[in-house]
Amino acid sequence: MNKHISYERYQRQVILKEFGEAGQQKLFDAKVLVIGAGGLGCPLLQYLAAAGVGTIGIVDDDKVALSNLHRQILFSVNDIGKSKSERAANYLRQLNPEINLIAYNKRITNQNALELMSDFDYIADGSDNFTTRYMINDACVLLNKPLIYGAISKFEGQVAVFNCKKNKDDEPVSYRDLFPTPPGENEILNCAEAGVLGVLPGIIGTMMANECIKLITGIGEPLIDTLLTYNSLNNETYQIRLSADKKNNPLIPKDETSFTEMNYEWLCTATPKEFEIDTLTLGSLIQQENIDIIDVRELNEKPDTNDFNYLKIPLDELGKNNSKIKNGIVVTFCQTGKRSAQAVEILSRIFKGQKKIYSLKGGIMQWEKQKQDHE
Amino acid sequence: MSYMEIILFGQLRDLAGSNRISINAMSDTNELQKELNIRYPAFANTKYAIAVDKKIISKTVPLNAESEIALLPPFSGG
Repeated sequence: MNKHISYERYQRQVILKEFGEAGQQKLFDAKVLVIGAGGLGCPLLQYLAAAGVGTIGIVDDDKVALSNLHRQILFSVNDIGKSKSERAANYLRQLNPEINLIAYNKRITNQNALELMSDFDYIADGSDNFTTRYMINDACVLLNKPLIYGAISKFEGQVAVFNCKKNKDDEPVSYRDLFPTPPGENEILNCAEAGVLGVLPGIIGTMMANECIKLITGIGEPLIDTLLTYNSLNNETYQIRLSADKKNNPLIPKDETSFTEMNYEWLCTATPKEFEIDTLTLGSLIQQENIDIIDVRELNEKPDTNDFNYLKIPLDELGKNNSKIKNGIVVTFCQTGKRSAQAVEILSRIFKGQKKIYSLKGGIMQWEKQKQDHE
Repeated sequence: MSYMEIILFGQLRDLAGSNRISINAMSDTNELQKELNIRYPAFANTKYAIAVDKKIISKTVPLNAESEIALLPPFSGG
């Protein structure tokens, strides 16, 4: 074992035969970036640091507040108003002076994520919003780095390991294979709105630390391609197998340039009104000449309509098969408006503001219904 | 008439007022969602993943009365 590693400090885990000195050395050599030093990040960081992970980065631009202290256990009243990442790093240096702690007192965005993450082997997501979560997922796919994921709501938590192959030939599974696109702004409440019992992030953050340590040391069965849910009220757990789905690939930026140009803020907070149009608006738009209407359903899906001309490009082909889209206004539709909302996301990335891109709210079903209502 | 049991997570529990619901057996997940949207209109405005027999599905799959169905909304909290 490396002479910088104190045998005494780690004695209780080193004597585990599955772990041993080799496991301790792997932890010491590992570099983990923890995004968010909040409810999940605090216990996660505490156990990673205590276990002897050699290099730990902490990204958070937030400051400690009194209402954090019931769950963010690295902080005390003396820390209120101070940088979370710096206070957490300071606390952890006292816990374990043998490891390297790097505080990034900044907000991680698609402008700095690739650079921040490139120095680390493992990324742990303890963030508290969908904008950051989708951005981190996409960055991990681009950089080909394992993602230890945790998220909570009220009394329930989710844990998983994404973008990590069990076997060489496996297709890695990403967060987008579970939830391809973010929910609308009002669809899912965050902790500030919904509330959270302080122990829950403690449990989920600790589970994340456990997954991280298992991944690094190669012991046990990490939650690769598996979502674990935990309910703190009745202690029920539920595990679900995930699999890679090719049709989600176009949702993820292909390279660094398209990643930095993607508007994650818009993607995750856009209210439906901004890109959805109703049937009446479509009715007036089809009078114009500079418009392309695209049916993004599978080719055999019914009903068809003769009310306007449209191109047929199924959702999973939009990424490559879009040369026929020539006009400045693009309206996508599907059966109910769900897939066309995804289509807006894909096309917005391809055309980067050069076109106005909309989705027909309620889809072709709503169009047909509105026609009948008028007859 | 046979019924199928559905396990709910996250805010779907609040919307349905229960951790589990049972509805008439449906032939596939598409039919199931239509029925859910009729029985629980608030579900239509909520994003969730569907798991059948503990596997996340990415397209419509056939169901039978023994299918174990779970609906999982995304969580953002940290």
